[in-house]
Amino acid sequence: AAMTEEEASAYRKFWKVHKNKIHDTLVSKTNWNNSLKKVSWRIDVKSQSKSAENINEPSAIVELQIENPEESQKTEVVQFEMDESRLAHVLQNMKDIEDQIVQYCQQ
Amino acid sequence: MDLSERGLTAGKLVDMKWKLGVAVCSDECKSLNSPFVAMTLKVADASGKISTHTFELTIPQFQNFSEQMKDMAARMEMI
Repeated sequence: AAMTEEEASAYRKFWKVHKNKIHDTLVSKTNWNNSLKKVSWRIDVKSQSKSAENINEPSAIVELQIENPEESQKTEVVQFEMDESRLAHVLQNMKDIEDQIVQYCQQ
Repeated sequence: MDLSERGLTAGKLVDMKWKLGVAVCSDECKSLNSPFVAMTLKVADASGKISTHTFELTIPQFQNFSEQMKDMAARMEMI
């Protein structure tokens, strides 16, 4: 038997309210690669060293928690440090990605 | 133990690669139409040994990541 108009209306309403959430859930279920669970960071400053006084060189320490969707118990923790020039290079990468997103993804 | 309390054994970021892709469809969804950013980072430890780490981000996740990097740079500039 076909749906009544009432039932159809209820389905339409449900879909309208929940479709974005449903779509997002479907999308996240199709990432079988690692995902980035958490980003933490701090800035350190080297103020003095044996060979050079008062160098005042900042460096960024970043910690990433990377999670595998199949084995969510195992979180990989990656720590690395970046000086200003390495961070500038990373920022350039971010900008390049953003430009590509704008160009290719009309969201 | 948060990041400010950890001893400093961080490696150095030596390489970063990225790609922007779109998940078109899947067995469960005919029209995913979902862009993603995949990244690969190479980190060298104190002995020079390189480890590779990859992950995939949705666009909002990528934008959050990018914001964090910008925040870091802004803070570094203040020093």
